[in-house]
Amino acid sequence: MADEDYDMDGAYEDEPLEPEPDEGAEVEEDNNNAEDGPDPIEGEGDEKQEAEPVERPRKTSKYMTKYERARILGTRALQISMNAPVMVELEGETDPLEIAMKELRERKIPFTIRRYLPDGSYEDWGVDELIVEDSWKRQVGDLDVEEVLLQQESAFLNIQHNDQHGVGSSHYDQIGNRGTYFTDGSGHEKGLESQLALDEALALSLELGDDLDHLYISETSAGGGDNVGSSSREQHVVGPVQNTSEDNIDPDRMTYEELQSLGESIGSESKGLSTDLISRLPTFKYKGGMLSKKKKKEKEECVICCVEFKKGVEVTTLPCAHHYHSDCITHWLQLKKYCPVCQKEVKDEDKNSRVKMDGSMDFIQWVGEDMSLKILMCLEDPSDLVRTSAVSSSWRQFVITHGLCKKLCLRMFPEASCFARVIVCDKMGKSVATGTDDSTEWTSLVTEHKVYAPFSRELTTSKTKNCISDAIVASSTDNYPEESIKNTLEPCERVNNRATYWSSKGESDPAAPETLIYKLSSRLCLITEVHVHPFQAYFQFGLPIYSAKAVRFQMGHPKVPLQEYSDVFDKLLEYQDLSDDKFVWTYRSPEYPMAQENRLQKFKLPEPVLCIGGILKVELLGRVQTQEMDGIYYICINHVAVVGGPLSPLFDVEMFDERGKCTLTYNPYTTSLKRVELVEEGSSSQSHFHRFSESIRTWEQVIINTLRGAGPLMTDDNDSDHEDLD
Amino acid sequence: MARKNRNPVGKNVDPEAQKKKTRTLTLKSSDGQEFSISESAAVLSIAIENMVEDDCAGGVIPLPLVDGGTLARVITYLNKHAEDGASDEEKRKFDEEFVSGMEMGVLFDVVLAANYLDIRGLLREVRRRIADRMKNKSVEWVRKTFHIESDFTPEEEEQMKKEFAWAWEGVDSDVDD
Repeated sequence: MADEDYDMDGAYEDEPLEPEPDEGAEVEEDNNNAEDGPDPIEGEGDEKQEAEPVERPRKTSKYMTKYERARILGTRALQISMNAPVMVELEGETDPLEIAMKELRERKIPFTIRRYLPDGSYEDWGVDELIVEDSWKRQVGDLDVEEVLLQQESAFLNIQHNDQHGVGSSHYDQIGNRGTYFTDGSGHEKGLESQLALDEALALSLELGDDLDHLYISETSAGGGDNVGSSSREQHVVGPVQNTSEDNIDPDRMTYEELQSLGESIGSESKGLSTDLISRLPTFKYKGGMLSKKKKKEKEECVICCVEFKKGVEVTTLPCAHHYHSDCITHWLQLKKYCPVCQKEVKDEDKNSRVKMDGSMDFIQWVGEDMSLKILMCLEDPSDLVRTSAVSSSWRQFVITHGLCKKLCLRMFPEASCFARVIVCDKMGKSVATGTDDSTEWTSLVTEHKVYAPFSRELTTSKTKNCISDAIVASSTDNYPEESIKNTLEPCERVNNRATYWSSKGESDPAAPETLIYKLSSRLCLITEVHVHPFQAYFQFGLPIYSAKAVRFQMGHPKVPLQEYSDVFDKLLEYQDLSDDKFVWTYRSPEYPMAQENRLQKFKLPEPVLCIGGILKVELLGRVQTQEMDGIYYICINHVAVVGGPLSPLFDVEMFDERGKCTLTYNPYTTSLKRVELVEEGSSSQSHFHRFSESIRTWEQVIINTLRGAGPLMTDDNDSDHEDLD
Repeated sequence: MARKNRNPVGKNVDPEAQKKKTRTLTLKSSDGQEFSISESAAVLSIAIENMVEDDCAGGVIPLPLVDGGTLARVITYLNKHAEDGASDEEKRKFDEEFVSGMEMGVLFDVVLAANYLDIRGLLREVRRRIADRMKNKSVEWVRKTFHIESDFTPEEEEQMKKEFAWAWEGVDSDVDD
């Protein structure tokens, strides 16, 4: 038997001269019908008669065959499921297949069907040009579906008995709308009937084991009884008789119909599945609403025949979980071995006949892609994934196509989803020519693999240390610069007998928050803990600890694009013009209560956080300590440390756009160069402070005088006394 | 007797569960073998549960995609997990032993059957087990275990080793475990 003879993408049949079994949907439908007349599904196909539209330059049927329809819906649904723009107004539909059906109903599917003819030429039909009969249920109006089918069946029985005069057409008339097509001219009508009879006979003969003599006789009786068939018609069927009797088949000289019947008689078995396998597919009696857990009101239908599943009807489920009428899918699978909707091959799952793992069977093929994916997603170490991709080229392709390294990275650090693009740099530090425009999907997938693999590895192995490189700004400072946020870089309470701490301005509202913003040593850091050490004013009466009630941490990046960042940054820093709104915060930790104790308090984040942009903010929420002198609240912090791992300088991040998306760059070649920079940067974080403390030395006297105004002056002796007390 | 009186509610609460325990289903594998299993165990498979609910089952549930050997294994698993007395710890230990002895091919059969029958726990366990056979193993070992022949040229292999040198560090030595 045959099926569709069109081509969706123009590359389907590259050997048009070969008598493909794929030729000719039209005749074959009638065959189906002859074989199982009472079959309600097949009954639906028969109105798609080849009408031999003489006046048209195109000669194939202007009706869309059910196979074309199934494939269009399948292909379109697939496109929609892959985010293709939808061409119709949606009313809450979410199922791609439903949307595709709606589009087809509204003739909005942007496809052209290419029907190949045996001589290699083809006809293009826009989907909107073809008459779609899916709505036939509605067209028949009040008539019950079963009734129509019965009528059709009897019509065919009539035809089979060469009783086609009058009786057949009257049946068609009863079937309502379709009559309008069939009765516009008796010539057409007769041509149609004779062809029906012809096809019927052909099918019968095929059923009887390719008995082509029988076919010939049937044809003459059909064609001869009525003069419409004409000589060309007879020739069609005579052709196969000659051809199949010996080997001198000349497909070039055969007509379209001949090739169809030839293909049907010789070529179908190789493509389909064995009846044995088909019979082993799971089959159920339909109970209504069982196939999908969706709302009941949505009717489920068999996409092959477009008839709703009725209660009690036999439904077969393919391994891909698509459902069809058992009869419909049986016919389909005799011709093709894949699911009409998703094109997934229906494989012979019979374990007994299957080759056991003997080297020829790849496990990805064995368990299927979905399962392989789930298995490989159990691998949590990027090095496992990389080695998996080195097993064989099909494994490599699988790992890369599914972006497993990227998936792993995103599973570990959802923050990484803001990388819209990844770039690998070459030795010159320029991005390798994976140019954004011309790069194919595959090359960009390979690039992602090459970047995310080492990136994930870096995230799993990075060492921890203090990764603050500089203090940027505090929301308020009581006395600048002697109580500057810079002091919090230094872990000690005192340097050169000078207290080193940051103090907020005083507030009468104990709820008034303060923030401290720090720059981290790399734009990509993996942060695990933040340490905060409140300051105890050892020089004040009662040794008050100016702690906060609670802390919270945020991480993010500057609003200024990072390229301009360093220049602008230094300038802003100079003028202390870096308020909170210069940054975008992408992560916010939970709130941690702070103890009113003079010690380094460690706050472990629930999960390590990938800070993208290298800015960390400490929020100090609520005040507890008033200063005796003025009776208002202050917060003073002695030291802040951020524990985590700055990522290897091979990785960098560029350009945040307004949606917070950025580019991850990987430069595997400049290792040595960057390492040096890193060391310098590391030492500079020390020198930052020392430079600062140098500048401040001249202020020493002033500090002492300004410390809380009339606060007790400290001498070395007093200092040591208090230290003892601590 | 006293026990029964003390806990009459417990009995009334779930007559359905009680019924399930006594009712047995027959599962038929692709090669025609039939297995009896209590309904309470069988419905751990969501697919079978659906069939039972939709009453598609009739007397015998045909499982055309599962062969007899695999089905027997799956039923062992289901029975253990439907067992009343079994603690979670026991079940965990059972799972461990259940999967550990299996050959690769058997694991694949079981994972496919578990997928088809929609048995979440088993599916998770077996998937993890298959993945474990790749974890921290050398490429050669994985090829041997999964019966895969490399189709890379030596240059390509070298290139990969160079590019991702870190991934080749510290893998387990190639011994069967």
